[in-house]
Amino acid sequence: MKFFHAISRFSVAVGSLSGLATGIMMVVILVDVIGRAFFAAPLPLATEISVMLLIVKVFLGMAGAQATDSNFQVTVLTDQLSTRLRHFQRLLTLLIALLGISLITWFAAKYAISSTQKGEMSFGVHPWPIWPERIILAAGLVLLVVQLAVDLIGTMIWGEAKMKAGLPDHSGAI
Amino acid sequence: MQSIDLALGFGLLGGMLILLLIGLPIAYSLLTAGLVGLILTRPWMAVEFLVSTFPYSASANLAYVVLPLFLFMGHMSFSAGIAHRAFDSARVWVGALPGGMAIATVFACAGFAAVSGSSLATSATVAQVAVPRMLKEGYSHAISAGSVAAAGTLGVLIPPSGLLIVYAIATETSVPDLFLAGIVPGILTAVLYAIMLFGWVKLVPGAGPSVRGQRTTMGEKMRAAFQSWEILLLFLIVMGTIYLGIGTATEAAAFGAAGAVLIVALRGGNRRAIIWRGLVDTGVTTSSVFLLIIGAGFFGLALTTTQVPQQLTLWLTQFDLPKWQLTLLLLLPYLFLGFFVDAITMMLLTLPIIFPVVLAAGINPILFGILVTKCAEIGAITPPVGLNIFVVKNTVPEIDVMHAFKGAIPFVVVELIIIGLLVAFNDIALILI
Amino acid sequence: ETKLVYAGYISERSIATTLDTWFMDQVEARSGGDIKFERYYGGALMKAPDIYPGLAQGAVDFATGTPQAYNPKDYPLSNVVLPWITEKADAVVYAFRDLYEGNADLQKEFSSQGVKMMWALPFPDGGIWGSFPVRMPEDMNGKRIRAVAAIAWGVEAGGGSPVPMSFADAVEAVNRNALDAMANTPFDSAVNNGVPKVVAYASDAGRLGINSVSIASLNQASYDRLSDAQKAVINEVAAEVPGRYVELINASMSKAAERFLEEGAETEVILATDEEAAKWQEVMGPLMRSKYIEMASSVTENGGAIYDQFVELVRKYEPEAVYTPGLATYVKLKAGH
Ligand code: NA
Ligand code: NA
Repeated sequence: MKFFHAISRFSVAVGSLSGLATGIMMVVILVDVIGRAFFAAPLPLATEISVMLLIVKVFLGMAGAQATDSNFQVTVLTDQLSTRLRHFQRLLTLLIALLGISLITWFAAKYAISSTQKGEMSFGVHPWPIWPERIILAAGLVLLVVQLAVDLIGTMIWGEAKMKAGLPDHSGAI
Repeated sequence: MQSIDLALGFGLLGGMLILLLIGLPIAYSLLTAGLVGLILTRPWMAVEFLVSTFPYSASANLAYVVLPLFLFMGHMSFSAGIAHRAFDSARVWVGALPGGMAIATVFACAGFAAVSGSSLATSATVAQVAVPRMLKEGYSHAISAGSVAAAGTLGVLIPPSGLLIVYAIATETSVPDLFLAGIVPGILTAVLYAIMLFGWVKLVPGAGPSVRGQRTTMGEKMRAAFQSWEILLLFLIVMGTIYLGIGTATEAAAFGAAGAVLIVALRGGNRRAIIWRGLVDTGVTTSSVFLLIIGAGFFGLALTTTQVPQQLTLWLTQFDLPKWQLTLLLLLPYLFLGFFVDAITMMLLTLPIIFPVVLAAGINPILFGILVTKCAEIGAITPPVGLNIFVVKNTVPEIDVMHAFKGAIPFVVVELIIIGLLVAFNDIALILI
Repeated sequence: ETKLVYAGYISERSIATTLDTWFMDQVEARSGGDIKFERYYGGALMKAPDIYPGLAQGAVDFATGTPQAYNPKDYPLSNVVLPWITEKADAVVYAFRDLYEGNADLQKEFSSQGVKMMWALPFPDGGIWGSFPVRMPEDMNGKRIRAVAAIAWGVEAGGGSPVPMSFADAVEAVNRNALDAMANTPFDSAVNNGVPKVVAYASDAGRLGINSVSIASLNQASYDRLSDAQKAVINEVAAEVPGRYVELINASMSKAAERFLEEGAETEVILATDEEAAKWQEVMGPLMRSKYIEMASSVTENGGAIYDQFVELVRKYEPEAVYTPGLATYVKLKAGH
């Protein structure tokens, strides 16, 4: 149980770290705009860096979103279920998610490896390596798979309430 | 051949709905159904390639950076207590009118909407200050909860708007154009809400104080307006950056976020904790929204390979309906889905199918974006799933949910009238572009 | 019956996509329906950077993309179509075809990826569209210009700041003076996307001219699986594409020029004189050549030779070329009115 909670907390912590990317993103863009507007000297690679930070944000935050149950869902039917049925519903959906995301992660990880071996680059004004972003993406997905597995096994053994105890609550809707 | 594909397409749609209903998170439902769809329509090599590249290609785009930045700006504005001061100034200006406190709530929402891109956040934030005050002054649960839940939807109509950005991402339309197109309909909505509220307290006994309250002096009004300088400042920073030519929408978002951080820093309190909290929450929200965007894009891809969207476009355009009729027809699914699903999901679910029709029929994509936003947001205040109502209930627990849903009905009527006006007079949305 | 899956990312109105459609229609007709194409236009199946990797992996059978721009590590030599070489699109079509046929290094670039190159078609001529006239390279000094790839090197050489930005963002930014100008604007795309409405000047920037090609290819394995009869049809139609392009391109430019005129744009068009063009040539020619050698160096030492061979082929076809650049077409049309 302790181990399972530790993994959830790790996911949340990585997610928080990805929050930092927003702050850096803001600064990078500000420097770029000010440089361009007032000194005709835009920040080289500002575009590439911003996109990389977005990848960091999006993918390293996914496991945290899963750990804190921040993903949107439709609860019209599931709200009507008895506690017992709800337990099985929870297990079933976690299992489906685990299977689907695992397959996607497997492919994405394979691609990240081949991209790294080839040294995949993009070329706007200056060359920029893309392969690190592919690795970050795959790492985020791997963490999500681990989190899903932990949620599934943990819920099977101890139930949902105990699994999610003590984790922060986020409201995600726009 | 083609009919097999089509059957598969409809099977895919059905399967996805089942996954949604058994409570699989929406993004996972879309990804799983999309995966199954691709496996059934494409050779394995193609499945592997599309799956391995899609998550990156669907998110690695500079244009998408705008979303977390505006989300962060909204978080900071919330923490800086901007909603509180917005309500105070609105109260000084219109609070003395019959139904004035509810009308002030509407304008406070409109003000907060100018610094926040979220409907839910606008409702939650303004509810905190406005609902207890309204209840204390004798407004009914229905009118108190209804006005703050409904006016919260201005959060995504008046720029900046997370929902309009998601629309722009899904349809590759221009964020600045969508933002501009939201301004006049947003103001119109606030004004019509105010007129409706005035009539409501006059006509329905017990809805709220129906007589004039104590007038405030011009001096007080000026001082109150000055209190809301942060809203004006942030709105001008954002819109000014875009329209005076300092930068793009993304860059404007960065300026807005920096401005909001600055205001938090000036206001004091535990600044570091507030900013850190804002960053973390933005991170989680961004991740879950993008997981949804990736899922919807992936499902759309699978659906495209079954030819369903293409066939639907052909089928719908062959009737040669007048544009206004087709527009209304295309909006119907949103009104229906709105009972059960939140706005962003609804948009991402339907646009891969509906947007090709919009383009083929020559309906203005910017106008359609505003209309879809309007329709989708009605869903936020209708049962059984009405997120804005729920969030008001969460914020002010004594509110009765049934009363709140009833209180939303007059607003839904006003919304439908506005949608009609927009379809009849497109310029209401397009005049600023 | 064989089904081939096609993916493209370029707008359906573009000449490159028009010819893809023509090719597929002709192959379907001439094979008597024996070959059918399942078509995904405008990035519906794959985004630009994924087109060639996807084609290589067999995710689709036939595709048009710009691998030299989006996958430069795998396709460095295809970058040989550089700015400030020629304005003649038709000369480039034939020169690239001949270069490919005679150059083992360039062939290997595609064959090593499992891709069979079919044809390369120039994007119409570019220029610099913005708030100031560009007559000499120095005119770009201190200016913020949306530019990517080779044109960005040219902008830097003139003392300007290249800003990478999407086409749509750039139109918006130029309109609101957040940028001084934009390059990497094929004439027809510029007109179709309303660039004339937001700029005061459109300069040919010393006959910057043709600066990129879209490349159509088949997956080699998909091709190998075809019957001899099917292969014959494909090759027959493919061989006609360059000629078809030359037939269509002038008409397409005239149409864009008419639209430019009809919309009553106040834009002033600047065309370089022979002396001005020669001066640009002096600065940009050696720069492009050395940059090409640098890019090519990851796969071959012969970059300089390939570049020279391409230029030589272009010069061979230029005298018989009939293409009139878009900006020049517009100037003629305007004078006629
Ligand atoms: Na807003
Ligand atoms: Na609803």
